[in-house]
Amino acid sequence: MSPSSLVPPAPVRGADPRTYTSIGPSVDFIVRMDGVTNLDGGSAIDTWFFKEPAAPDPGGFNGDRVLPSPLIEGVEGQLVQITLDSPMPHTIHLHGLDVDQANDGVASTSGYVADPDFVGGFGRVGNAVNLGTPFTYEFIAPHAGTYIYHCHIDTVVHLERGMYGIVVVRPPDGSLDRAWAGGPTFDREYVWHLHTFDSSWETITRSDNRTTRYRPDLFMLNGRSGADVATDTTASITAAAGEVVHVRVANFSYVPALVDFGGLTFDVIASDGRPLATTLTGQTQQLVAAGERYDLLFTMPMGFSGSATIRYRDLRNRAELGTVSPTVTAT
Amino acid sequence: MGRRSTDHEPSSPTVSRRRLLQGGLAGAAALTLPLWARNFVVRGGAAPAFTASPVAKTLADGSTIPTWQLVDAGGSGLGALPSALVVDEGDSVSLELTNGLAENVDLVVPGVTSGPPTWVTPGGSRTVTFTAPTAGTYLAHGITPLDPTGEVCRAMGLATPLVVRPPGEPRRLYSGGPRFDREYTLMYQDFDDRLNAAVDAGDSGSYDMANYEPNFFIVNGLGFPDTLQSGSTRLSMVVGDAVALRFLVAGQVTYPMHFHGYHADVEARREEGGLSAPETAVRSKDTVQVEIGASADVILNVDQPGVFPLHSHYVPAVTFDGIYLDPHGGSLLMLAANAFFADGFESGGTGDWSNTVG
Repeated sequence: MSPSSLVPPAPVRGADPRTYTSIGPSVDFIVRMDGVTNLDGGSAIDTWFFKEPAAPDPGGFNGDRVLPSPLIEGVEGQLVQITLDSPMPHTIHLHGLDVDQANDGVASTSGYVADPDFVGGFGRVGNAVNLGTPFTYEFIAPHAGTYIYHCHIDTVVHLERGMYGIVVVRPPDGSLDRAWAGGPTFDREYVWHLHTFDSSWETITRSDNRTTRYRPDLFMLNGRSGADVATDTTASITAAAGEVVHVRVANFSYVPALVDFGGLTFDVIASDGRPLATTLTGQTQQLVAAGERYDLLFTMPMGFSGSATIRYRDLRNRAELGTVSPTVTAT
Repeated sequence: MGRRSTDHEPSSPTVSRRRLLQGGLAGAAALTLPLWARNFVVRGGAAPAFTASPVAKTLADGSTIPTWQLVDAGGSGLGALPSALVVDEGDSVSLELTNGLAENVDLVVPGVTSGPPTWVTPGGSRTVTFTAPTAGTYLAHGITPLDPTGEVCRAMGLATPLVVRPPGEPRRLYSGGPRFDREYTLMYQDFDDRLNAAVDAGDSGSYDMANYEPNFFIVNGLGFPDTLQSGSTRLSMVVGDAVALRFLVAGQVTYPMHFHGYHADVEARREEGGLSAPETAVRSKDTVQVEIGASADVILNVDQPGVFPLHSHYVPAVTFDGIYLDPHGGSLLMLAANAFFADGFESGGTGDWSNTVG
């Protein structure tokens, strides 16, 4: 190979870098408690999820699955509205978006959609409405970055069963290829929803003495498991050599996960919707704890063909519980 | 023991204004906003003395768990925890350890104390001495001959915080760090009731810590909603405050601490067995991972009023034995900014807990 052939072609800047579909900033949600997530190997697990009522089935993330729920996009400084119409007690907690108390989605303190008798309210503010009455969550999108939402009623069960999604806030000018105003640019963007199931919880609808100990045995990425991850275009990464790839990683599991890109070095540019005070360059792995988000950036080398690995690990002894391995391929 | 941090800091115009503010808002008699800027007691005078004791802890769900605790000579201290040790960097610290357990015990501060253990036999006592390290939040805990790392002792509850301040700067986490108005030390503990039962039965050898899976979770000795009843765990603040929160994991699982309503600045971290150091990269966070035996010291700049949960996103840590908070459960805290808890608040929502005052 001659030296000149090592110089990758310049990427086309300004193209839409997204590898998934999204909705927003004004969203109508219903709750579906009859979702079925197909697993690698032919089995399946029952899941709950949010979807837009007008969206064709399955209508979850990327429109083509029930798990995770749809990705919501907003623009920094602009209004986001999510109207939830649920016949059962559910809420939307806007995790990391620093919304006010009324819009926080906590059954006992916030406005929500639920049976008021389900959870004793203390100091609830906002319009606590009854089942069957839609409730609109509103907030001004804060600093551009990666956030999450999830149901916050009997959270230990409802989040685990799949009622979660990502919120991406774009910079004030709405640009899709820049992490925040004045921040780094990129050519391709992936969002990774990390999640695990304890399959023994599949039939549980309310926390009880069967939810005493959480023992995850199904390891998910963007609602896929096992070999299905390698063929999922939202999870496995393809980019032209020289292109800058932005990966937003959010951990919805209850256990931490260690993320690597098959030996590629990357920069950690942001976490929890805020730029790092100092970008961490040349990293080879990143621990993402439950509820955390990290924004990672790398340049695709020429001819690269490998696999990233997400290692879910025990929250006590750090033993590897299970992995998922999206591919990373230069085109 | 050498020079101690003073118990009472000079009253400031800020404090006086707050007291007037709360009086003017809803009537001073009904309000319990702590007048002190921190949530722990500093013992003055003689060297602090702890007795390692078996204590049956009853939680809000009615469960009674046999635990080990370091009990203050002056009483049970915060929420049935001993008072935090608060010293200045460089202090020569001496404390008395008395052994009320049935087996030999010693007290260590990983990263600070050194040398082989000096076992205290049942009924005996000794003076533990060390020099206070770099300012930060540390963990003192018990060890036994069969448990040299103290993992069983910590899982049984035998631990207490050690807060080290920069000399002359009691309202900073480290010398030259940002100033804070209020301060909470939050020590998280977890219990696997199978271990507690085995140890209580004198049969700790029957339990393998490799199987440890906690099913009860507390902070500063309390579980929700008891956390609402104690100034140790009721996080009261006012918009404009800079509030220091010292997260310390005495338990045996990691704690990803999630703030509703706010981001907080991670100012300093300490790994298990290490010294505290300022955090320079991953600073503004809504979820702060704290590993076993480690600490994370954060400052929350309170920029909106409201009542917001603060909890581990290992959501089982918001349960007692699997039951989510309806009406009790786990290491859940409520953070209240410009919102006040009335005396006599009862779980179930019958108390007067008015919100968004002012």
